[in-house]
Amino acid sequence: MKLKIKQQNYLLLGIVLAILIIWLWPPASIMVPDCELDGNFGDWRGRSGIDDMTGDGRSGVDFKRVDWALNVNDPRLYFKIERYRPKNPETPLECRMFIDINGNGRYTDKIDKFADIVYQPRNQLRGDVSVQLYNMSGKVVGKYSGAWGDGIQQGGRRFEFALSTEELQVLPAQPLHLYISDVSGRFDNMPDSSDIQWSPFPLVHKSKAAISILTIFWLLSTAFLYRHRIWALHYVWGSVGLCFILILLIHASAVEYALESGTSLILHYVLGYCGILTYIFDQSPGTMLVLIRFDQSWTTISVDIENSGLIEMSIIFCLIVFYPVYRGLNKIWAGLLGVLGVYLINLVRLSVVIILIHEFGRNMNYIAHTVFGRLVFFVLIVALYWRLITRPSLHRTGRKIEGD
Amino acid sequence: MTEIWGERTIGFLIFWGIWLLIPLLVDVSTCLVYLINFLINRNKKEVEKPELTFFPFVTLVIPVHNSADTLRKCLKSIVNQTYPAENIQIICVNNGSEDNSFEVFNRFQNAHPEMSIAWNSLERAGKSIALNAGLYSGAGTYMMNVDADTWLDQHAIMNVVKAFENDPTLAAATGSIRVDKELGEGTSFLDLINYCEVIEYILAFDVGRRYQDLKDAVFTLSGAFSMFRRDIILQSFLYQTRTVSEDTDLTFNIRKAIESSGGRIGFVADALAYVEPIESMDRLYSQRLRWQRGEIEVTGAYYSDTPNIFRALFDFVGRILISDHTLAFIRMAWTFLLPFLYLLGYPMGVIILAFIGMYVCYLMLETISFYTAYKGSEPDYQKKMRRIWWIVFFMPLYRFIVYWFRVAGMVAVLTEEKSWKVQNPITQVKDILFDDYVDFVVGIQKMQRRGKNEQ
Repeated sequence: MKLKIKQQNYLLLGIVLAILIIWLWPPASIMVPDCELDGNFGDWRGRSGIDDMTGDGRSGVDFKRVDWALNVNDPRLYFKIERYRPKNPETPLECRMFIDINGNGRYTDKIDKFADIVYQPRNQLRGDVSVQLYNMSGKVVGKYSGAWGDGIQQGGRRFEFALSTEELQVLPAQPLHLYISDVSGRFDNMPDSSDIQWSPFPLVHKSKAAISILTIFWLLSTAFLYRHRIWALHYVWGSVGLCFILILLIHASAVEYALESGTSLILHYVLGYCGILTYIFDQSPGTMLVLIRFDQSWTTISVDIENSGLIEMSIIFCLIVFYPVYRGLNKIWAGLLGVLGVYLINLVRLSVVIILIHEFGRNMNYIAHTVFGRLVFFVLIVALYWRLITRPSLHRTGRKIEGD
Repeated sequence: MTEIWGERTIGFLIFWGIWLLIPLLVDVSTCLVYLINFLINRNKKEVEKPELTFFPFVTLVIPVHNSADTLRKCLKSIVNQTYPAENIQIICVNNGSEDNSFEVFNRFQNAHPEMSIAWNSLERAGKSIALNAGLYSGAGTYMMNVDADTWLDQHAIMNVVKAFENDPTLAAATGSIRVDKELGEGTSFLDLINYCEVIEYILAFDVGRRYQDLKDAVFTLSGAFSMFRRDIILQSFLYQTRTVSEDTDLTFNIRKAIESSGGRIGFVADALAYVEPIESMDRLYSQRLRWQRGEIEVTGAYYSDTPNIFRALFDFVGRILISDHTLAFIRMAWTFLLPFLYLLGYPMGVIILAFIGMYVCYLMLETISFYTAYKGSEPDYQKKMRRIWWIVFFMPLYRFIVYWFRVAGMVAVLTEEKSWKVQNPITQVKDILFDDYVDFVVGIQKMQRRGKNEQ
């Protein structure tokens, strides 16, 4: 590749900077540490969960709270169950988690599963947990066990476990319904009415080495296309490549968590101001509980990769930064304006989704998320693209032609 | 589990695929509007226009630039017109030909002394200048331009004049352009591309322009065969060189000029003209790049105040731009990003299934397109079209290829000086890599030679 010395220096500087940024990029764990199955529950503080009232179950099976969580690069769903302190801390707890895998509200379909969970405080410090996952024909599809619970000293209250998404047959973003009951089903259910809805999307983060290699290759090839003035390929390759790199870098990092936390925080306050009650969590970025108006029950919505607007923000930034209608620093300003535009549009989209769920209940979730929210998003995004891409192109071309 | 995969795939297709499906829906709805309009107005079209009792003088301007291969066929088609030959004036305007176009013309002139046929020669190349020179020197009541690689149906001029004589509001019109390709004979890649072109042209002219005619929204008076009232064209800026789409530029120019007088730009469906199918992918690339570039140049110049999205939505030009330009960027990013979602955790199976679903959606669009083009054709031609019904399976790929050529046009308009001939980027990269490889080999050989000399 024949580059002038000055251009070579810029390229080298670009590569060094890119590598530095990639390696210093803040990982997700600095915002939210991973959950570990170790019988210690500090890592559950601030996680998403639902409380259950006291006194609606007999001692030992009176549930207090269930929390759920995901780890980065871990295809398992984590749960923590807590009961009100039993009179005798050695009392074992046998309960069952019912999981409606296809999210249709029925728990008896062939694909649905249930897990029998036994918690037995073993000694002063630890309690044993064993979980057997069954399909609807009663066949065991997964077995998990470990010292994952409180000991007698802590009152025999809490335990944690994780279920494999593969054994559950859960695909990313698949809406699940679940609830927990004592094994007889007669005493306490958690939640007391209805169920928990969750669309887990396990976070996958690629290795920094892989992203670095990809970035160096992309920088060199983009510089080649720039040097030889092959503009059409330069634009497509440059913008799409940068977009890939940005998304790989931001996804499952502290930046994504910060974005999702910020989004849910704004929505929480803005919607609260409009009288729509939501609940957010310190350590579960993007997870929101929305109060359904007619039955006063809670349902979850997740501001995750699907609806944080992260992908769309990266796209518009890259499409603008490489678009030849903008020159110099204007590229960056216009790109950032695009990012801000998408962010605001995404807030509108999420508000529409939440309002629909609040008004019409959890059954509205899929339609609100996939159809209504998406349509609002699409229309506003087209308007933004018109403003930031088509309109300046027409303006500049027209001015150039009139100038001729 | 199948149920989950199906549900997830549909969810994925609707949720992420929307970026590719909405542009598709725009195409489908346009096609359906064309079809419905065509079916409703089909019978109206068949009302016979009264026969002419007077045959006004018409001038045909043919710009000639290295057109020796096709000029004779073009001139022959004019001689064979049902319109009286003594009322036709042909002006060939040579603009920088380096082949034997003049000899072709000369032979033809000698063979047809009954025709009024003249040869003007300009020193420099340039289609716009050639057309203008011809239009200025023409004496016809109606002025027509015909490309030298276009030939006319025998009733074309008669039908054009009938249309103008029966509609005093008609200021300018475009004929119906067809691709002259024998259907079903070959199956090479280029043949398939040509079949798609055939369908595309029928759809664009016989169905699309017919609709635009009704809505007074004809976007381009085709450079291959268009006609004007003499007073209208001579009062306009004529063909200008400022854009690569001088025909679209002229169309916008005339529309602006006749807005206040109640005139209109129309389409004469039964004035058929035929063009050669595209000869290579390189030609297709430069043609589509030019069309897209021209669209932005002309509309950019046309808007004195570039509209916001709301104004654009209520303007037919704005709507075309949203569909052709704005959505193209969204589509560009998502064509690559959908498979990329695998890296973010989506199962590859879901993505592959979603792409199959997407292909099926595009297949549905192409089936509607083919059916619309089929209904828009004459019964004789429908028989031929039936031979290539299977082309619908290939048409999504054609649409995809053409889409990328258009994207190149969107970038070129902002980065490159205007030119009719452009090199496609793949060839550019290949040439550069080949040059670098040659430099590398030569360098190695020099080093080897130097090594031997030192030994």
